[in-house]
Amino acid sequence: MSSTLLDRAPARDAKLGLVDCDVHHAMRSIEDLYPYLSAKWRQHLATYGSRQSVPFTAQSRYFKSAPALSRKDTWPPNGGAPGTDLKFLQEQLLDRYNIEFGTLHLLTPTGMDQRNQDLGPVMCRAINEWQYHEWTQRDQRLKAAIVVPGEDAAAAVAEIEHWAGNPDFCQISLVSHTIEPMGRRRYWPIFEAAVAHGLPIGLHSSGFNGHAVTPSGWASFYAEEHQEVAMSQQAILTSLVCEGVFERYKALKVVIVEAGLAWVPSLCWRLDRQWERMRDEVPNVKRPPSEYVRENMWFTTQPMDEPERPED
Amino acid sequence: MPAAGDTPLGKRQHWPIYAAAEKHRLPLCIHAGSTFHHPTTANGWPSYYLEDYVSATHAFQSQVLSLMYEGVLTKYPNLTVVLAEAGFTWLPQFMWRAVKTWRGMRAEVPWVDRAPSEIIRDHFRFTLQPSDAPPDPLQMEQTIEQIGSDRFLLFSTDYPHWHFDGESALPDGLPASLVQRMMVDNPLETYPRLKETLQ
Repeated sequence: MSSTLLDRAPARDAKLGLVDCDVHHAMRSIEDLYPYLSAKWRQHLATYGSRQSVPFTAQSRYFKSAPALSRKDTWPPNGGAPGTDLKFLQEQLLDRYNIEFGTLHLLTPTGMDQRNQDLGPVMCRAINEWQYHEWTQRDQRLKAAIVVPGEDAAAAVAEIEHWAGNPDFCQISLVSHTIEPMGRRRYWPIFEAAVAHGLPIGLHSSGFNGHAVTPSGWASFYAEEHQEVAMSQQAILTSLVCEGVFERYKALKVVIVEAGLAWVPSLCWRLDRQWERMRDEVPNVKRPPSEYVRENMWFTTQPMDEPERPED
Repeated sequence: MPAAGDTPLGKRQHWPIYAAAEKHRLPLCIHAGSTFHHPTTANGWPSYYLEDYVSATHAFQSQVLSLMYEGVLTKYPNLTVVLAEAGFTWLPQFMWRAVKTWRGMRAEVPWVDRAPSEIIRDHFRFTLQPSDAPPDPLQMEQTIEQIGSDRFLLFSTDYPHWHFDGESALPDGLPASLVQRMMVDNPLETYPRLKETLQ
C-alpha cells in the first residue's frame, strides 16, 4: 500500500512536495547525547542507567517483528541502525519522494519515561539539543518536536518555553502512554503552553507508563500489543474529549501518530451515543464528542487499516 | 466472564473452562465488566463512568485478540464466544487492523492458521445493545456489509438496565434479513440447548 501511494507522489519539479508527518530518526546509542549532557549526568547515566516503569529499558517489552522495527533496506550501508544516518535518510526518503517537510519523532530514549524527576528534564533538553544540532540544522526539511517531560507539567512548560521561538521545532511531543489519561488536569499546563505558542501536540505511540497493555493485564504477543497501542490512542481521544480539554483550549491541535484512523468513526458514534445518555456526568463537554474530534484532532496515515473490499 | 479480568482470557490457565464449554456445547459469554485489578485503559484510570463505559470496547477487543493469538480457537474449534454489551460497529476496523497485523506477524503465532476476520466471523457473536449506531442509517447498512456476516448478531434488550429501549430496540439501518436472523435463528444456532428445548 505504502509503495503504491508513494509511487503516485508528485513529480520532483512540483512546487510543493509531500509533507511527511512521521519520520523516525534514531541514536546510535545513548552516548550520542553525551555532548549535550553535563559530566555529572553522563556519570549518572553510566552508573545508574535509565530507570523507567518497565523492567527492560534497552529494548521493547515485546519482541518486534523486525530488527529495529525497520525494513531491511533501511539499514545504512555505512553501519549503524536505521534512522541514524542523515545522508542515507536524505537519499532514501527526502530526495527520492520529494519530501518538502518531514516531522521527526524520536521513539527512544525518552526523558518523559524517566522516574528520576531531575533526570527527565535534563534528558529532554539534551534530546532537543541533539535534534537541533544533528538533524534540523543539517537539513532544513526536517522539523523536530519539542520533547518534554510530560509527567512534570512545570518542567514540560519550561522546555516548551525554551524552544518555542525556534522555527526548527514544529510541535510538542509527549509519549502516548502517559501515567494518567491525557485529559486529566495534571497535563493542562502543557496544553495551555501549546496553545499560547501555536504548537500542535504530536502523540506518537510510545513510552512506558507501567500499566498493563490491556485492561486484563499483560498480553503475550507483539501481534496483540501492536493492536493494543491503537486502543491506547483511542483512550487518549476519549479522555481529552470527556475532560473538556477542547472546550477549555479551543485552539488546541492534537495529532495522533501511527495508530491508524479507521477507528475514528465508530469510536465517535459510541462516544456521541453514550454522551447523550450520560452528559450530566461530564458537564465540561458541551457538544457531541465527534464535533471536538473533527475540529481539534488529526491522524497520520501510516499504518492504514486497509478494508477487505478496496471500495470501502 | 467479565470483559476485564486478572489475566487475558487466552492464557492457558483458563483452557480447562473452554474444554468443558466445548464438550457440553455451551458458549462462553464475556459480559461488560471488570475486576478492576488493572486500570481500565492502558493509560491509567479515567475520571468518568462515561470513559470507562466507552473504553470497555477495548477490554472486549483485547480478549478477542488474546483468544485468537493464544491459540484457544485453534485448540477448541467448536467453541462459540458471545460478547455481551460490547457494541459491534467497531468490528470492521478491528478486523482490518487484525488482518493486517496478522499478515505481518503470523510467524510469531503460527498456530493461527487463517485470517482473524474469518476466525471472528466463525466463533464470535455479539448482542445488539448498545448498538452505538451511526447518525446515518446508510452508515449502519454499510457497517453491516463490512462485517460480512448475517450470523454474528443476537437480539438483546439489556433489561432492566438503562440501555433497555423497550419497543425502539432496533437501530435504524439494520437490513430486514439480518433482523429476522438476529431475533430467532442466530440465538438458536448459538445456544443449541434452546433448540433442543423447542424440539
